[in-house]
Amino acid sequence: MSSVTSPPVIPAAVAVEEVLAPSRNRRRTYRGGVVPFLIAAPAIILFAIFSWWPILRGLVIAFQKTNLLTTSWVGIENFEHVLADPLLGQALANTALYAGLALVLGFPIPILFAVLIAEMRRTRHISSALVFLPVIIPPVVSILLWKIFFDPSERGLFNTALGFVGIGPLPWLQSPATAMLSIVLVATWGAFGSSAIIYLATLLAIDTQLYEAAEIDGASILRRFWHITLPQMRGTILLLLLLQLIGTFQIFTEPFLLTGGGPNNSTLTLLMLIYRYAFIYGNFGQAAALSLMLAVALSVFAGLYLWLSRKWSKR
Amino acid sequence: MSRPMRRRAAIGVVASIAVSALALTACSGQASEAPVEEAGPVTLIVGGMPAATDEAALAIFNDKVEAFEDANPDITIEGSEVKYDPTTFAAQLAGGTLPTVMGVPVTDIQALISREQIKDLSAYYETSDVLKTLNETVTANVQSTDGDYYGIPISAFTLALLVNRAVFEQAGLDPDVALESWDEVAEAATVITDKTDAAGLAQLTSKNQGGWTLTALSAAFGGLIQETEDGVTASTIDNEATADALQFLSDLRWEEDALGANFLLDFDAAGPAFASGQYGMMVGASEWYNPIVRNFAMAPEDFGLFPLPQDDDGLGSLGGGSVAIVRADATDAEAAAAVKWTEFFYLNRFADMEFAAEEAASQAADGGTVPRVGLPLVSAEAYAEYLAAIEPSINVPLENLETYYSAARSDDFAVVTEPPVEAQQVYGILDAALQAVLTDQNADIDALLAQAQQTAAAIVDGAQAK
Repeated sequence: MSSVTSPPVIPAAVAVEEVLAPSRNRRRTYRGGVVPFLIAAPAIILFAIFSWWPILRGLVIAFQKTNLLTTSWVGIENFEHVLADPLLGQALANTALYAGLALVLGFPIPILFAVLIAEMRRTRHISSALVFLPVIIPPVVSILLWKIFFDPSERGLFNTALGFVGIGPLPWLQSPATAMLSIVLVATWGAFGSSAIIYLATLLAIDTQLYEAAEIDGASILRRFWHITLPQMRGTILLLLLLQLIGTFQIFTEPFLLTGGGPNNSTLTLLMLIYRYAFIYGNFGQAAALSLMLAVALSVFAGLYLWLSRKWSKR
Repeated sequence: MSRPMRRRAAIGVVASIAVSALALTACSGQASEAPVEEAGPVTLIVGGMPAATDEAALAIFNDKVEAFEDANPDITIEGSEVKYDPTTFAAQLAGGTLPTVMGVPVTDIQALISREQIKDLSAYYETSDVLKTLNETVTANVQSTDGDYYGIPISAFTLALLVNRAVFEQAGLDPDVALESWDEVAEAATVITDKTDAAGLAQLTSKNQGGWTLTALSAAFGGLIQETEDGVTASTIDNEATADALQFLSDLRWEEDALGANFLLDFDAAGPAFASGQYGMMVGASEWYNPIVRNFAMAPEDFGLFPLPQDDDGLGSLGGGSVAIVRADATDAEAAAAVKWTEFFYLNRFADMEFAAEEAASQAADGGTVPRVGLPLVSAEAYAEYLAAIEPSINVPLENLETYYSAARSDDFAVVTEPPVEAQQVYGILDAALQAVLTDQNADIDALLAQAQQTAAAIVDGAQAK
């Protein structure tokens, strides 16, 4: 349930276009025999037990009232309760606000760092390691450290630093106006490293002859970035943007540990609402109903996004 | 802060601790006769067994198990370290890993009853000599709205005003003189803030603890957030007393700046801060002496306890505690064994003074607090006898808690029960209102309460319609 994105590291520019492009050669005849299936069977069985079966159970529970001992069918009652909950609108708005802020901060920063690191020929390796370092730190540890840094009193780390330049003390997590922004800061810090490394790999895979040719033609740095770098990175950017958007709508750990959804529900997100339904209030049916609605919404969004991306890629 | 007297009917239970005569001295410590036919040997899984790292506590536990099994050869006890966790309770129950009998907070028992996750123990209240003697104030907490009993009280407390005596003295205040009104509390909080590095009052605001303490303040100002009439409970959050309580806290926050800087505060954060002298006072459970001193290393002599001040119309102090429950799918034989075990493990100390003395000596040697601070489960006379028996092992400076205990012994000390319907959800709603008041200077208290009432009413009505 990590935040902005912790996307899987994929081979740079190679895989990206394949992921976004319509699959080809679908009608190739399979001649591999049964051995590959036997090799994959343990993983498939584990996936079935711990991933696919819970998804199916969640689908069923969404239409049930259950205490996990006794169960009864209630039709769409759970959906009606969730849709009538005044907190749903607030959680949706908070999640959208988080997604917007996370994109504004979390989308350009990894690209910027990747471009900068690509230019650092001597210190590239150490710079890459330093940028990736926050990803290695366990989220709960780093988030609780940030919570200490966000101490709203004058003795807090950030407020002490700001005090040197005559600013603050700021309430950070203690005000509805600044709490979500503070959470975005934490989430961006924790996740931008992995995106930056993927962007960096893409950058380094760009054929240098393109830049040399452009340079001979008298293209400025900005023109080279705009006409060579960005188009070459387009596939990676599109994929990571999709993963980031899906990740932002599943934000949970940071607000759960930093604010508990407060103050005054200003950082209550959709996943936190699901958590409350299930584990605080014991309404597993309502939790499953909201989860199902979120999954459907994200699936529709992802499908639409991919369709638009492919359309754009063909231009 | 006075206001006209309002209807006090159906206030859950507002009862006098001292008046209730608990003849627990009559407890034999022997198990009650089960109201159902018992069939053969029973293996009982009991929760809350101390961890292996807590060797002394585990030794005491094992000794009790051995003694119980000697007295009840048909029952075999299996200890489990599982403790109540609302986030895993249902899954453990369904998965079969939940102990047959375990302790849960009073706050959650009504929700467990409504979700049919715990067993009805009413029949044992009719046959057990021990359970019959329990104080009605305490047993009211384990009753459903139908009057059936779903648990056995094993500890009790009321909310109180916790005081850091060292901070009080530093501010020039007398920690031996109880604050008797909310105006005095406000005055003391301001003095502490002005004269020390500490904030005057720690106000819990998150993890439903804000709503819980606000409910206590509301009762102390004369209001209830739920009222029951003819078996039907209604949400009554938007009452004058709750508004007064919020206004009291708002004034302390925005006019006196006496609440510190953290307004996302739960006990895990507030407890260590209070123990280390960052706050002078805190509204919380009287039994928090135990974790604050033992886990947060507060000097025992620095901990003070005042009864919760009551406004002119004050209804009393909000009560709480722990309850032994039996899982819903337990057999009748298991339930009967669970009741026997609970009586033996938790209540025998008030009946068998020799046992009490040995137990207290072991606990004190382990660094535990002796006696456990809170509201006595038994009558004043029975509790005095218990204190006399454990006197050599007492390590709690009871003289510093005397203002609380003397109030609890008085005839007019009233205990208010927790809201009977979906208490945690309602506390969560109040958390948000409280946070709004403490983080937004322009917060409209009446509007917040109206909104909270609308949300809570839907939950309370919906829960009863099921």
